[in-house]
Amino acid sequence: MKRTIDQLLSIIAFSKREYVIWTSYKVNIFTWILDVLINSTLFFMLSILMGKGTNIFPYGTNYVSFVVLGLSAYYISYTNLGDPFDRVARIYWNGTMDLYLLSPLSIVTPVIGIMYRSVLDDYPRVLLAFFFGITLFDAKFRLVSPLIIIIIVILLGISTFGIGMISASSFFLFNIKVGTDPIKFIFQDIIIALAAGYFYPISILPYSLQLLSSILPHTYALDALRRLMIPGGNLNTPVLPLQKLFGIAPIRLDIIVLLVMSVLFIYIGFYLYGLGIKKARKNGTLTRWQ
Amino acid sequence: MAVNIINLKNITKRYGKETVLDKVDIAVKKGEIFGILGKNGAGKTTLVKIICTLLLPDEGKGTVMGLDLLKEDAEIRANVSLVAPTADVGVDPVLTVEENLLFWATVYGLRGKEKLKRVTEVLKILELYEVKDRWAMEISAGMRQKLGIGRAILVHHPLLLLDEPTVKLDIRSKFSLRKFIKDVRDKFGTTIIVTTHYFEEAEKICDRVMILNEGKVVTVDTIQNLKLKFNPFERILIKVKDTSRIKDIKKHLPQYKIHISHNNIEFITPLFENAMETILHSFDTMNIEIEDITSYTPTLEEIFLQVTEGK
Repeated sequence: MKRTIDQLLSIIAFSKREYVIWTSYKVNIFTWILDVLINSTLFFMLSILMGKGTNIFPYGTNYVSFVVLGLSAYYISYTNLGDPFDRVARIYWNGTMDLYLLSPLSIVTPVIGIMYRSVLDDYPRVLLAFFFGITLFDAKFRLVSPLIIIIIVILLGISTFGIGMISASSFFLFNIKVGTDPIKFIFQDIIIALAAGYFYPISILPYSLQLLSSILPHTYALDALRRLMIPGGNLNTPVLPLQKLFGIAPIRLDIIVLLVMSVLFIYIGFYLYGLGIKKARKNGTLTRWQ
Repeated sequence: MAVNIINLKNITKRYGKETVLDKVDIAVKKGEIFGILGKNGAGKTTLVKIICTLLLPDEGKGTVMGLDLLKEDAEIRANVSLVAPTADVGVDPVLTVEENLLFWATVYGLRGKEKLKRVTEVLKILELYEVKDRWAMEISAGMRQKLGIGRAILVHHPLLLLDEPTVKLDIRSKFSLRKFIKDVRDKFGTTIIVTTHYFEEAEKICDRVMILNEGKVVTVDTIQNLKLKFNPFERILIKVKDTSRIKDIKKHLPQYKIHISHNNIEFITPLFENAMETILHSFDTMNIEIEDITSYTPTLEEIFLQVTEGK
């Protein structure tokens, strides 16, 4: 218990430090708001252009709302999945890896702690996307089962972080110290970009891509969130391959799959990261200090 | 009999075909300041990394703080403090000096009043208290080095590893750090392992030293014993004004090897025997006036060159 509390207090200390560092670059905040506004506007303008007449069944009829939720999942995924590799690289290149390992911290605590700067940077973008969507582009939302919505967002966060840790493990496991991590590239830049359904429903994809989307937590999180949060969303009609296969109520199946993916990806991610550290301890690539 | 806090045997590490450490045995007593000396590439840092379990040996086993090197590595890591050559690593430039230490204090598990007390104590010990509210990027490189050392001593771990700790420090800071290292040992009984290129530093602070050469242990001993073992002589050079009685000197001091050249006399005497007093007394008895005296004892640096290069 004490060990868990120590890890949590350390994460808070990391968070405070990252906050101080983040806010020390004053111009950051201005460029950050502008960046979200421009990004959101681009997607929203496209959604207005394409939205009329677009069939987004079973996710209601408001395509801007559909895109706001897609953007939100994108921001969460961008941090949780994309960041762990970059954070491990930062810890390694700035030479603090050995200092964190020579402390009572677990091997993943520094990664989570240092991610807080990206959390600060990316998570509030979700709120801004909602704000701009609602105030400028007529997005509308409803709150059916807020607790389930929170659970789904948390599960999306955990499962994407699990994939992020699998990606981070490649830093030591395959000794990829520079360039692009192949796991992150395959997930984020290929599979998710094509099949996560940020800006279009999965059902419009060819069946093979729909099957590919079945391995992504994004698919189930977005399906459930859009059904629950967009006015007119249908809670009962299955559209995803797994929903059709099992015949369980769509949102229930979404939650079960997200749960399984969260446990599975986190377990694999932590296991592989530990394995990577062990391998680096063996071959002497754990720290830059020579 | 002192307990060994480090007891490693047959430690071997290879990178590809290159053997970096070759069957190294190391035993360090509790509370000892132990120096590891060697040229670049001798294996000093590799050995330190293995001791703190950041690196796994290919062969060999043993214990650190009574914990198994191979099986209880996480516990070892949690109880070791390290100062790497670039000690200011881990110092965040946009945090104040105090904020930096407070952050690491939390990481090391210090809480509440104890955390503040320790941070203040370390700031004062390292003479950083006056600059505690300044950003780390505003202080000198030497001060940042001290701050990094401060991080390592926030908690009183039983084992402190210092890899080239005085690299960036000025003479005054080096002096105060050496004093500080001894104080830490005396006050808390901390065992300290130091690797250094500064032999004078090792002479001043280490109880024993290990000389590594090309991954092998050449010798381990106290500095006094190393000198006695490898170069047990003191040279005393005396310049006299009057050379008329100079030949009588050999008769008066037959126990020493003596070389005479014009008005210069060189005595080769056993080390640590205080021959100077005997020689001066003889000169006084013979009524020979001395113009100049120089005494020369072997340095650790010379011993090092002798044992590693045969010079």
